[in-house]
Formats: sequence, structure tokens, C-alpha cells
Amino acid sequence: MRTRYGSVNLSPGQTRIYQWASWLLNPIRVAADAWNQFWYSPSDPVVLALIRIFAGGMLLYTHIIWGLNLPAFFGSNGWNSPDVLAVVQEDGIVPSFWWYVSDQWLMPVHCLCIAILFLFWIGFATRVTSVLSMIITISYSYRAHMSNFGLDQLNAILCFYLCIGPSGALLSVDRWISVLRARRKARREGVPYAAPVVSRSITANLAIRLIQLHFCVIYAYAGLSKLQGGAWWSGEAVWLAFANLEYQSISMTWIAWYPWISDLMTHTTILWEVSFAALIWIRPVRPIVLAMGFAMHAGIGGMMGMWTFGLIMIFGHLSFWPAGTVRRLLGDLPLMPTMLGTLQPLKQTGQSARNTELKVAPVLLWVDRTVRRQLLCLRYFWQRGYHCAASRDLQEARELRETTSPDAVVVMATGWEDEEVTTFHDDHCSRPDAEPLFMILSKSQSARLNGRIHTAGSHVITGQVSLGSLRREIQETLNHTSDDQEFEWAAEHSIGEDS
Amino acid sequence: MISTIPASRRVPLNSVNESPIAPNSGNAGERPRSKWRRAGFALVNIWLFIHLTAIITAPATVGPSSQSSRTVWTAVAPYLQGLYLNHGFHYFAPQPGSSNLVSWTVTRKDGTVLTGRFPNFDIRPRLYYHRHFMLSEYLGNSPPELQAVVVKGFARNLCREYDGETVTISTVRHDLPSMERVRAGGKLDDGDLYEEQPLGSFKREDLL
Repeated sequence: MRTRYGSVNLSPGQTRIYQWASWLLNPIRVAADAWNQFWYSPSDPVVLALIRIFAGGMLLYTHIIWGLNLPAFFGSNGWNSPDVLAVVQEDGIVPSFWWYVSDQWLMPVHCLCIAILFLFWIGFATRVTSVLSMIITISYSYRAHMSNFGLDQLNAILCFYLCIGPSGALLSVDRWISVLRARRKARREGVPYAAPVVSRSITANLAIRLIQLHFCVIYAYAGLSKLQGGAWWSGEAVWLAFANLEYQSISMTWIAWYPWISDLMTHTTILWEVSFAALIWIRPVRPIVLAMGFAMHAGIGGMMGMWTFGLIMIFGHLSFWPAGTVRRLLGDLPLMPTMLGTLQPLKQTGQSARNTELKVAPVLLWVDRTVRRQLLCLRYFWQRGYHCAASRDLQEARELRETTSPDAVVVMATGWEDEEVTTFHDDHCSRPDAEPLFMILSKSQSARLNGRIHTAGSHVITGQVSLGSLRREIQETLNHTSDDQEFEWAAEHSIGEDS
Repeated sequence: MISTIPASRRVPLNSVNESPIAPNSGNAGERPRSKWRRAGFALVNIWLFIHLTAIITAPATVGPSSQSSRTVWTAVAPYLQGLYLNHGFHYFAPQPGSSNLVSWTVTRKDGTVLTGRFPNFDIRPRLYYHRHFMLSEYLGNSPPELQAVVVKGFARNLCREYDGETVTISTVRHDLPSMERVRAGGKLDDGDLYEEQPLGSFKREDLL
């Protein structure tokens, strides 16, 4: 979950406790903070850039196909002739530049549109070409109104959100140009070349959030509207879809001998669509939800011939992928180190998770199995301006360490087996440029592990320690100047085995 | 103890704790947010609220729908339509049904008669096929008064494309077989599953 103080990984139970307590204390403030956190946390634009490549490619393909018979689809005497559309689209607002293009200019205008869509796809002057692509998509869709289907809707939705965020900041010609400029500048000034650092962006987060929410709306209505139909209850719906010869690309009539397959697929589809908007936000369940979505859309594409629609939905699912995962997956590909760049750490960007009040401060990764103690400690450090990421699991802490780039790691080791603690410790300290590790052990644990976990860079604290002392030790280690503002609350609380 | 944090990443707490940070302000941490930035922030929030209301309302107005959702939609419709976001997302709802095809006959000036039906699997690639399928679905699912207008447009295009003098168009409903029928040896394209409904005959001089 995200709080006004930073990003915290809590179990559902912990999240509920925290949220109830917060709502009781200050519901309006908490709601406002949650809103700001959700929409305005700066994020890595890599996911948006990846969506641009896939959705932009689909946009280009879609429009190339329109070009197979422009007079039929866009001509004055075509399927979608203006006088017919005037009746069909009566009273609607239907902006399209095609209304002003005469028949002899169809091909030149179409070629210009294809060129713009190509530039958007490769990420050239993306801020401009994304908006132009949006105008093109809307114009084609309204002009060829009667030939549209879900693909065109999704094309427009994704293109709109790609206009909002910096979709060309990475994996693009724009990025390549900025690298070339930086190289030229370094050569001119005689300084070592450093690749331009990638800024986290609030608009990237805004765009991703909007895509995510729009997909929740799509699936919620897709699922709920199906509940009106008897076939979606009786289990026949998937059979009816497969038995439609006009949709079919692979014969699925063998299902007639195995009705339970149709039942299973029908019920699963309904359950998945109706629950998507809720389950997708639960982090441990998210990969399963996305995997099921991939299977469903790949099935629609492969078996019902709508692979363009299936793919565009899968491309939209990328918005739910963590930026760190996308970077890791793309990192090994050729040219990627240049095209991806290095992400500017949050604390150096001058941006914060909560844009109005959060301070630039060290980032702590707090690992503790005890919920209550963890919340107590996090609250203490949050109140003193620290960014905190938290975990109850050592393995998850390893992953968080990579994604949050903490300045220090604090492990309340009392809840784990000795072997787990020493493994985490050794693994952590063996990393180059390892962050300082503060490990708080119980007395008995310390006796058992005596001599096994003391190395440079790690700080082992045995027994009880006050939060104030721990904070001072962390600050000294990080070479921070303390504001020396002691709080009664802090002095009264201590952590460790006896707390 | 060895601190492994590079000096460049160390930030004095006491210096930064007193200075709110503006979004996207680089290292301009000391600069308070101007009233223009605050106004912009408020506008973005208002837009977000309207946008979310709009995209949630649009599908809710697909019938059956409430008077309230239709009222809200009336307010946001220009926004939704302007951005081509006015969609229902009722895919295969309430349930998958029979499909519609268009059957046509074009007679040229020299007496040659051309016949065809779309969609057909000779139309490739698949997306191009699907465009034609959506045309036939639109015609087949339109109410009769709209069907009369749409079919005229179709006739005009066929007349133009095949240089015809007269065009005859009918819509063909292709019903779906049950599992029992398929198990008993039925095929998806059995003749009795198709039901043709003539929509009219049109002359070139009336169309072009």
C-alpha cells in the first residue's frame, strides 16, 4: 500500500489495520493523501514507453489495413458515405478531418497519416506525434463508423493516455537523439560522457494509472453486462462464440462432445471479468489475474480470429507490470542500456511520493515480521521525514532492495531462523556498494550467532534499542547532520526483544 | 563502520526538512509552490474527476439504464464523443448470438451479373475481413428505419466498385447450431442455419 509517507508493502491484514486506524484519525486527510499518492507519485516512464511501442505498432498496422481500400471506407460513395453517417451519427459530436478530404486526396492524406503514425511508433518528436496520432485515430474511427469494433476503441484509449505521459522518453528515437547530444556536448567540453539520466515523471504515473483504471472499467462492464444473458449462466456462451463460423479461425466444434469445457471457460470468463477491478490491485494475486487475462485474450485472438483485439488488450495489461520488472526484462537486449538509461533516484529528483509535503530524506528499507512493531517504527521514521519501504519477508526485502535503492536496511531479526538471518546478512554484505545494514538481534540470538555476522558495513544491535538511538546511529552512519530534535514519544519507545 | 553511501547521495536532513518540494522542480527544493501551480494542480484534479465520471458513466447508459446515468452522460457526452471514448464495452453481451452477412447481386450495363457475400474468408488479412464483418453486422442489427438508410449506402458502394447498373442486397442471418446438433453430425454451415431477408433493389441513377 502507499501512504502519505511513502510506499509500504503490507499484508492485507496489516493494510486493513493501518487503513482503519488512519480513517478513524483523519479520514479527509487520509483520502486526500491516498488520492495524491495514487495519481501523482513520480514513476519510471519505461512501462509507458513499452506500451507506446506495442500499441503504436498496432495503431500503424490498423491504419495500413484501412489503406487497402480507401474509397470503400472513406470515399464519398463508400460503405460509410457521409449522407448515411449523417443519419447514423445524428446529434453526436464526430470530429474527423476526413469530412474535409475529397476523394482525390484520400491516398495522399492517408500516406501522411501513416508517416506520422510511424514516427509515433519509433518515438520521434513523440510529444507532437502522439497528439497527431490521437487526432488521426479519432478521425479514422468516426469516418469509418460502421466498420469499427473493440480494436478501434482500445486504440483510441491507449493513444489518448500515451499523449498524456512521456511515452517517448525511453526506447525511442527521442532518447537516442538525447544520448547523441549528450555525447557531442561531452566531446565539445572535454569532459567524460555520461548518459542522460532518466527522470521519474508524474505524468507517466498519471497515464499509467488512467490506463489501469480504464481497463478496470472495461472489464467490469464487460463482465456485468454478460450477467444479463442466460448463456453466460448456463455455460453455453463460450460454445456459442466458438460455434459462430464468421468468427472462427480454428474449428472448436469438438467442444460439443465435452460440454464441461464450455461450462468451465464460460464461468471462468465471467468470474475473471467481474473480479478484475478488485483483484488486480492485490499484489500477490496480480500475476495470476494477468496470466488469466493473457490466456483469455490469446484465445480470442487465436481461436476467434480477433488477434488484433486480443493483442491490444494484452498490451494494455502491461500498465500493471512493475517498472523494475520491465527494466530487468529489457535490460539484456542489445542497445537497451542506452535506450533505457539509468533511472534517477527518487531522492535526487527533487520529487517526492507526496508532491506537496514530503521531504528529501534517506530511504529506509524496514524488515520486520511483527506487524504492530513495524507500524510503530515506520510511523516514527516517517514523522521524521524518512522515506520507508517495509517488508515482512526476507525474500521480498531482497526484491525491494533492488527496486527502492534504500540508503540503509534495518532488519528486526527476532522473527527469523538463525540460518535465514545469516544468509540475508552475508548475501547483503557481499554485494558491491552494499547499503549499511542495521540488524537488531535478541540476546539469545546474538549469543547463538556470536561472531558470525559482524562485518564492515553492518551494524549489529543486541537486545533493546530506543528508536531515537537507532535513528541517531543511522544518521551518523549516513553522515547526516541531525536536527537534534528529540521527541518525548521517541524516548519512551524502544524496540527489540523486550518491547 | 563503513558507510557505503556515496557522498553525492547524502542529503542533510535539517536543510531539506524545512523546504517543501515542488513536483518536477529538479533540485529547486526551496521554492514554494506558486498559486499558479496550485491552480494547475486543482484543475488537473477536477479534470481527473470529470474524466473518471465520464468513462464510468458511458457504458452505464447502454440499455437497460437508469435515468440518473443518462442524465450524467448528457453532461459528459461532448467530452466523451470528442475524444472517441464513448463506448459501452458490452462485448458478447448479453450473450453471443447469430451473425449477419450481406448477400449482393450487381448487374452491369452489358448484362453481366456479379454476386457475392461478405464477410467471406477470401477477404484477407483478417483485420480487413473483420472490417467487412462489422459492416454486415451493423446492417443486420440496425432497426428497420436505419437499415433502409444504411443499405442504400452499401448499394452505392457496390455500384461504384463493380460499375453496376442495378444492385440487389439482402441480409443473411446465420444461426448458431446447438451442441446436440453438432454431436448428431450437423455442421456450422448447414443450409438451414441461414435465413435470407431481401432489403431491396437499387438503380444506379438513384444512387450516384
